[in-house]
Amino acid sequence: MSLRIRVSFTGQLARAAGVKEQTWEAPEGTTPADLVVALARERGGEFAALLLNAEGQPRPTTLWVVNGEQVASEPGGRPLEDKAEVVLMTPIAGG
Amino acid sequence: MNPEDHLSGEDRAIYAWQMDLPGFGESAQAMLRRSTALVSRCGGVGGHIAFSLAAAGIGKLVLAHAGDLRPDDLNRQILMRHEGIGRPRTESIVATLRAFNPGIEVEAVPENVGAENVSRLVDAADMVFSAAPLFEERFHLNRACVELGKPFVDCAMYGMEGQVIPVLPGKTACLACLYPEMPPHWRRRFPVLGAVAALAGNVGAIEGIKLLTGLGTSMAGRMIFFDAAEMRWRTIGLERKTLCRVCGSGAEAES
Ligand SMILES: [Zn+2]
Repeated sequence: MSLRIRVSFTGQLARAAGVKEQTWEAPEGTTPADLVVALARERGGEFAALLLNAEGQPRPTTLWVVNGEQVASEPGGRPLEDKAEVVLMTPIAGG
Repeated sequence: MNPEDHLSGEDRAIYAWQMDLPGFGESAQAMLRRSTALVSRCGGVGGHIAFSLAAAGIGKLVLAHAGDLRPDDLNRQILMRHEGIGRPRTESIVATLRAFNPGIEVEAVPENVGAENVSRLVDAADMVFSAAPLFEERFHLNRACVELGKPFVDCAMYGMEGQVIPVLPGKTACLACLYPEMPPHWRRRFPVLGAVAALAGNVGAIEGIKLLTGLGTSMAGRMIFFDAAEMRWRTIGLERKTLCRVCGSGAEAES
């Protein structure tokens, strides 16, 4: 069985994606880091550069939110559940 | 009640409708009057923070903002004046606030927050508002607030979006818990509608007034995020990091 995840983007990430949300099908056991890497691979370009560093590792400055709670922006997190709501947020400092 | 807590007749006239707020009253008004707030940059976001704190009757505002006023500041920087273009921004800021509420003390510092002045500025404040367009300044403030134990509210916007993070040092996630290193993609020039900056600033002012007076329920420990394009609001639970380089064990390792 696969998971259906709703993913939203904010800030520069939404601009780079050209959309604010999408759904994503993923195999069971997918962690937030797996999702981030998979999305970055699919969209590539500036979107990927915002999420991943030059080594292809998730950037710690992007905020990952699962069902309204921030989770650590690093590999090895708790696997996502079906219908999870994920928000990926780039840092903003407009004053 | 201390003698200095008694409000004058003029105070009562000005703040009467505010003191009608359930859970506010004269004691909260007196608490505000005893308080000093530092606002880092009085631009699109910080100008609205300062303006709303002045309206609410804060005792003293310390406002840090360097540079001369430019035409392209005027779509959002509510404290500025058209006639002040080419002159120090602090001149406009002080003139506007003094004309609006002469009953509060206003100290303008024609400098941005940096390593040299941050401890002095934060130490003299009861509450700190962070609204600079650069992460460097926000990180300086965050570190000083954690070190000196001052509550602070980080307020930011981008395009049609805004976010506000109230921080109680040692209790809730600090800015470095969220952003463990300098965000590499942030640029000084960001798209901005003045009304969206106003919204972010006023959400921050509300959270600061809550922390100062006990009004309502503080969102400390959460981020308030809005997308004004869709009028979608979220509050997000933030994780305090035990290894944080500023408020956690990473701080001792660094020093
Ligand atoms: Zn921290």
